[in-house]
Amino acid sequence: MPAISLIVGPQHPALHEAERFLFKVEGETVIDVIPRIGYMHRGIEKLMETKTFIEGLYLAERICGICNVAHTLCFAEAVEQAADVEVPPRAKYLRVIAHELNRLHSHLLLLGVAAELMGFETLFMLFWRDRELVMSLFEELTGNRVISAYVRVGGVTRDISPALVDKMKDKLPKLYKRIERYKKVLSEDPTFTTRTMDVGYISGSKLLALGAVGPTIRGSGVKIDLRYTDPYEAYDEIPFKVITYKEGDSWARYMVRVDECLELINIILYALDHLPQGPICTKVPRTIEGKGEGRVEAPRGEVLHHTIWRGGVTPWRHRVRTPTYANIPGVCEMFKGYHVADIPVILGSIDPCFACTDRTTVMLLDAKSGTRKTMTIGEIKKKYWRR
Amino acid sequence: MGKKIPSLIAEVFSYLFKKPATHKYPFEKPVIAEGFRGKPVFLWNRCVECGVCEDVCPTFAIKLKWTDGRSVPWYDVSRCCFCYECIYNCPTNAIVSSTEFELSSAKKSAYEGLPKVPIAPYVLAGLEKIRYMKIDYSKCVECELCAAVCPTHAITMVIKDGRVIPSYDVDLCVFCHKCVEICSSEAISPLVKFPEKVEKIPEKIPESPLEKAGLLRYRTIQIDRNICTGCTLCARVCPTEAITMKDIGGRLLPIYNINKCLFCGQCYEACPVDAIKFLPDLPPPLRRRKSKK
Repeated sequence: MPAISLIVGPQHPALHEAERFLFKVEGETVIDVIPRIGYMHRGIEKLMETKTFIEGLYLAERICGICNVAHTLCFAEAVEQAADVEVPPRAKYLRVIAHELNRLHSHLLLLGVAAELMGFETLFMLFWRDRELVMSLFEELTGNRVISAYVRVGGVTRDISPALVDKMKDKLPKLYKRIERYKKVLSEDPTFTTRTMDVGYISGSKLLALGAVGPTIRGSGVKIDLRYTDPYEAYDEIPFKVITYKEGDSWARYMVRVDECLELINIILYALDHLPQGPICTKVPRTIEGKGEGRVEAPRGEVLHHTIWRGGVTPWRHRVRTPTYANIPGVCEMFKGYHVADIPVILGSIDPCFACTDRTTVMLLDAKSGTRKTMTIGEIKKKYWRR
Repeated sequence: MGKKIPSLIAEVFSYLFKKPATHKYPFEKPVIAEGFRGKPVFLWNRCVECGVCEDVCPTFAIKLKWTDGRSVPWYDVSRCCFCYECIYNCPTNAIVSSTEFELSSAKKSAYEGLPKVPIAPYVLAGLEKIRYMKIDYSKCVECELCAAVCPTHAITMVIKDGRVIPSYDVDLCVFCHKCVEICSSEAISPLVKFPEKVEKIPEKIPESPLEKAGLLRYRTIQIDRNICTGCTLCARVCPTEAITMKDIGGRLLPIYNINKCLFCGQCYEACPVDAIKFLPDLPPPLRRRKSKK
């Protein structure tokens, strides 16, 4: 049977973001995938070179709305390393609390969307109702429901009140019990398991070779978690388990997220109990000279911000790498050999966030000889810039 | 399909007898959290027109405009991202938070502008606008508090003529008066007139009031290399790495960096052969030039 090319996208392949995938289909079976990313390119890296670190922080926050704390934390870590500033210990713990609450709401959002993709709308409503509880706690801590503006370069913006500590200690164990119940539903209910079990299988060694990060690679049994392998902030003082599943299919990737929700509630409760006293912010010099690198485990995987300052008020270069960009070669391998109807489930299982994926990266691969070419800016102008 | 289905049905039926989780919004006001970041409110009677809010605003929502003899901040709600950076940075607390969130309007003109042109706080007090901060170096006791409190780094500490003194940059100053309030020896005073000659540090620096009174501050450490055994104890106890060990001509010798030193005295206590001395004057290259008499 000859292969047919089937175009999915750019409108909403699984979640509500624009990206195009070209599937080569034989009957019902996918045999090859060609992804086309770059619809959401916003030129953030170039714009960052015109901003001071106060303004740049709020630009970094808007790279991804859902994991905004991870991006601000990563930006702040990079600039603090460049400026050689040490953050006070109380600020480190408060950053951990905001970061984990953000991860909790992101995971609950994805699990709800995944249930909706499979037509399990009751579970979608229940997940999103419980997410509302997290959002209200997050609003009281940071001042806003989604865009938090909580992390600053040198510390955090506001302190946690004792009343809010009591409220969190009261409400989070209740949420823990509910998520335990949803875990039972997701692992036993045939509506979910028949759609996800043995769908989109990929081995851990193959994902490692393709450079996947985060819960995607942890679902295939590889123990990679930046909080554990390269601890930042206060994670070296907090005990926690790294969740891995050996199955390697879509079901395992969803279950990693459910188990992480349970584990991170324990992290928040530990951090609230062991909150040190002291200041929450330090003063950072206006002009910075040096290089800095921030690596943070975002809800979707590793985020990297690399920044170079040459003694001015603005950075000379700022580079961002986001987790979905690293996961796209992996997800293209997952599609192969499965049916067209499984496409949304498999794509949803890596928790794609295409808005933060699209950076300025020019890669040209000569398909015949297999060599990689690099283009100078003059060649790009000559070829693509038409007045 | 031999697996057991967990009973979500019981939970579904229990919700038949509960109140709905959603609000009927326009009729029923939602409960807003205490720390919610709403529209910032400007208090004109506190504003000193420093322009810090315009400088830090990441979305250019605040601009200083000349209105009836004052350059006051004009605030555009439609550009605001509610990051509250202006509130955290305002030196006189003239911007305060509110929980107002119903900001939609049919006309764009409703988003910008001032309700009434306010009167400046210094006019109300019968004063003129401050244009310069004068530092009296004969009163300065070199406590470095003014440099620590300055929000715009207009005051920085420099070493000149054997004294560690504040240098003042008018271009960066916002006249927030924090240094005037914190100075324990009343050495800083605001000036209404702009001086003829503007300089960061004066050429001639008067004698320190501490030295006049006979008090001395330790200013340097002298390490006697003839006695030193190269045991590296001083470099190990130093909290700021002001002393580092270096191999010079086959001997391990301490190198002293005065800019990092805190004068805590730990190296003096640690030295087993008493090779370290504390001296009241700066080392010769930083020492004050003696005036010819």
